[in-house]
Amino acid sequence: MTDKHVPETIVVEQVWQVPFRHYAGTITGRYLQEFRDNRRIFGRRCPKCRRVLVPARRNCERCFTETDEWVQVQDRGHLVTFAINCVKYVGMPDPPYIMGLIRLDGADTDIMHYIRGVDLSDVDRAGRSLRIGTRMRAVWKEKRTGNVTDIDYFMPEGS
Amino acid sequence: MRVGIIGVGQVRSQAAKKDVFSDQTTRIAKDALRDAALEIGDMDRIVLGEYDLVTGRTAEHMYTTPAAGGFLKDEIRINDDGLFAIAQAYMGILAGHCEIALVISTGIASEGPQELITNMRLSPFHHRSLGLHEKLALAMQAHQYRGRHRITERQSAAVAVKNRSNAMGNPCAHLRRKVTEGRVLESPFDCWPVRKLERAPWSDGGCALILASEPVARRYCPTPVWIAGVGWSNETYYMEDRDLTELSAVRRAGEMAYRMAGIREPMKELDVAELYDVTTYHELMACEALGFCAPGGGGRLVEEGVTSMGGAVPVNPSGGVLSSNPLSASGLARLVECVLQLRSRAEGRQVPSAETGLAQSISGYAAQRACIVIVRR
Amino acid sequence: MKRVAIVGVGQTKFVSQRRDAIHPEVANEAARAALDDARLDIDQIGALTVGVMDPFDGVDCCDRWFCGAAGGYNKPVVRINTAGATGMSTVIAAYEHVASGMFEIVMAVAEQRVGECQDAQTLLNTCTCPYHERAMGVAAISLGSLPATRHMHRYGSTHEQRALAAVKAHRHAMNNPFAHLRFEVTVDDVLGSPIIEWPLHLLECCPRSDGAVALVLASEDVAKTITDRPAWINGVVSIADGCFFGDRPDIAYRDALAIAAHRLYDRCGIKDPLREIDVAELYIPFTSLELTQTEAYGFCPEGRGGELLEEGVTWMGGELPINPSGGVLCTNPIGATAAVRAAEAAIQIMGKGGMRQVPNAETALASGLGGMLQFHTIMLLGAEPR
Repeated sequence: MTDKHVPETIVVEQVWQVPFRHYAGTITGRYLQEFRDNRRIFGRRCPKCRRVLVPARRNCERCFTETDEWVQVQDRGHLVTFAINCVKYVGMPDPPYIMGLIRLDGADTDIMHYIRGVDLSDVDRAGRSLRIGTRMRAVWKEKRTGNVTDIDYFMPEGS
Repeated sequence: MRVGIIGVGQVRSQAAKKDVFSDQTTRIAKDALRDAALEIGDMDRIVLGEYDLVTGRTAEHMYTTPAAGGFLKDEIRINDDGLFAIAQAYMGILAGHCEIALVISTGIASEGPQELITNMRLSPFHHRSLGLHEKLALAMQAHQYRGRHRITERQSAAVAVKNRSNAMGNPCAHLRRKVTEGRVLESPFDCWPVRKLERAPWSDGGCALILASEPVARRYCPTPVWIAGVGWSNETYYMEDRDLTELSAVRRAGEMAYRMAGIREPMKELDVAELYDVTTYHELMACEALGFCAPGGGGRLVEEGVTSMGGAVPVNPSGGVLSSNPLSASGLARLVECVLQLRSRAEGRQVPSAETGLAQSISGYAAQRACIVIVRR
Repeated sequence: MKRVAIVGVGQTKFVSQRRDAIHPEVANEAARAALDDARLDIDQIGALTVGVMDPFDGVDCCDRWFCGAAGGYNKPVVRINTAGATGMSTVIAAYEHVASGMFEIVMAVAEQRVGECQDAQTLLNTCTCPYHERAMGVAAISLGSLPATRHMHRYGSTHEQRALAAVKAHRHAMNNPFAHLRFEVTVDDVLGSPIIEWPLHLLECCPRSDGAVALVLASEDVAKTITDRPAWINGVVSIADGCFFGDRPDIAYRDALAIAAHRLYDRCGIKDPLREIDVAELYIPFTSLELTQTEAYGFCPEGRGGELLEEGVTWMGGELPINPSGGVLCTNPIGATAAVRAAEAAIQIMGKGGMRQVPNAETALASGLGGMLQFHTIMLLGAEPR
């Protein structure tokens, strides 16, 4: 080989396909079971700060204390913030779609979920017209498996 | 005893290096050594600040450690933004663990789908099945912040105009073309409400700094830049349980660093700041969290030119992350610029008589983690 | 510069896969156990270092999810990842937090839930170079099998000698309530188990474990107010070799490890390691590596690691017990494993070893190993500060 040899750009393509299996444990498991079996959302209360944490979790990080009480919260609440994904990314859903944080009635933290029922033909118009504070309600799937996506999405109440 | 910075190195950021990523590491390391007029044998320790998965590898430092000259040397990798590696390297020198450390971060974004990779950082039970990724979460945060404090689109665009203009003076920046307010506000939405020209690109690049204990720094370098303060903190992973309108990890990290550096009035005592403007809104939020203005005052700050070149505290003379975003090296690059500024080696974007600089970094969903380094001449 | 001691440790009972808890909960258990052991409150912890490898737990940058529950809420947190050496590097990072004078009490938390992954070898294969090694199916087991073959060729070691390392580990693990695998094996059991990658049999290889460990480190100013038997960190060495196996002069001889060991002995004034060290918790994930590592540490002449095992020197009751906990062959939460070594060594110094306690343990060695025998981290602990 001489120095005049101009190397082509060799490229190695790789895709990782590695299976994982995650057990939800007793607290998160019950949280998701309630999604699947009863279309109910439960939070856990921290005995120290008394806050109801949703998603339900075993430990309150602020107090470094185990939560000790199941508290049912509503599947409706108000919109805290949102953003609209407008670009197709590898492995991500087709755009456009809205992701938002909703404060469910009875909870002290928000839940992250899709928001639908909003006309997205003009994204900027949609973003400006969907007001923070809008009352939202969950739309549940008929077939549920014990996943956060058992809630299909949240939508503005009265839509 | 103080810890000094006696050398900096970087490679130009660009869309894709199309190279073996660890070969970039060697270039960066050599650039820093050349700057310090030292040899690799003078380094006691290599401290890396880099992520796995982003280049399709686990244990990626298996490659970057030897490439950075780590053969038979002490090494440690901080798996976070590179500025956090400065914090660890700093403590390592004060602990007497080593005398000279090369802190390095190689950031290659072009080899993998970065948004999907950030989705893999989510809890499989709570968030993974949603189409959530870091860019979308940052947009959500920006939306809430601007709504709360009535930050206008023009104020946001002003950050982009400022930083992209500054980048013209930075030969290592990725994006080196000015933008007008009109172009910014017409650019398409990536993740509404953040427009393409209001957020950082993905870049390939990297940088390094050489830290040394005070006696060694004085021996090797006529004008070391001293680390005056370091701070870092984090918030909860659960975005649902945070006040997204405030970068509280930045605030706590800033308080820690200011305390160490003896800084009480940042606007008076800082000459230059390099903040992690992953979006225009995040520069404004960082200004507030660091006490450059009151909460909600970020928009007016940029409007009034306080953070422009020539203003009271120029922010991001390098062009910031908005102009170059080589992943884990983005935070470390903030410190590289501060050092160049303090050494009066930032031709084309020099802040005159810069004596005290602040570098800020964030990482994680909606700025979950933050690190601050304050340097002084 | 402050002297630093380990003043409390906690670990979870290691299993194949915890089905009753999710990642933050597992980390939280270890953190609580360490705080209980040190009789401290979480508010007394100034900072955290967290160690975990990506992406065995099925969550990238998993530390961001679990560090709050691990006690890092709103605190300074630094995340460490040095492949298999992660656990030890995490403790070393915590040591620097305290030795620097910046923090008085720091907690190091390391966690790994390898059981979440259904095919760990595929994942481990992803640490190999996509240009040169990945297609060859090189994975973690190769770092045990390739040296095994070479060691037999160069030094005449035997399968039976290697198998003794497994017999010893399993016997020791019977004394450790936290160990993952707790059943005794004979040489015949080991060599009769399925061959995974010749010459290594299944029982010569580490398991994949799920769990967490936490260590509380304190400066000399407060260590003795927390416990009257702290485990002082008297020496720390890390070393990095090149990444390609093919670059090593001879993989049967752990040259980089030998260099690291001698750096440590020099710094700590150790002249006769076999006599001066009372107990060692070493990162030995495959039986072959017990031979090569004991030689590198100078516990026996080069090539004679097999004889060392036959002579009982490194068994409980011997001159220098190695891995009274059962070691990595019985418990391997990869990113946390090296932190478990540090914790077990500290337990020995603190006199809390129960049935696995080595009597009068005053000097202990602990190690971490990462990459393809690339990263070695060693720590020397003592009942007295040096």
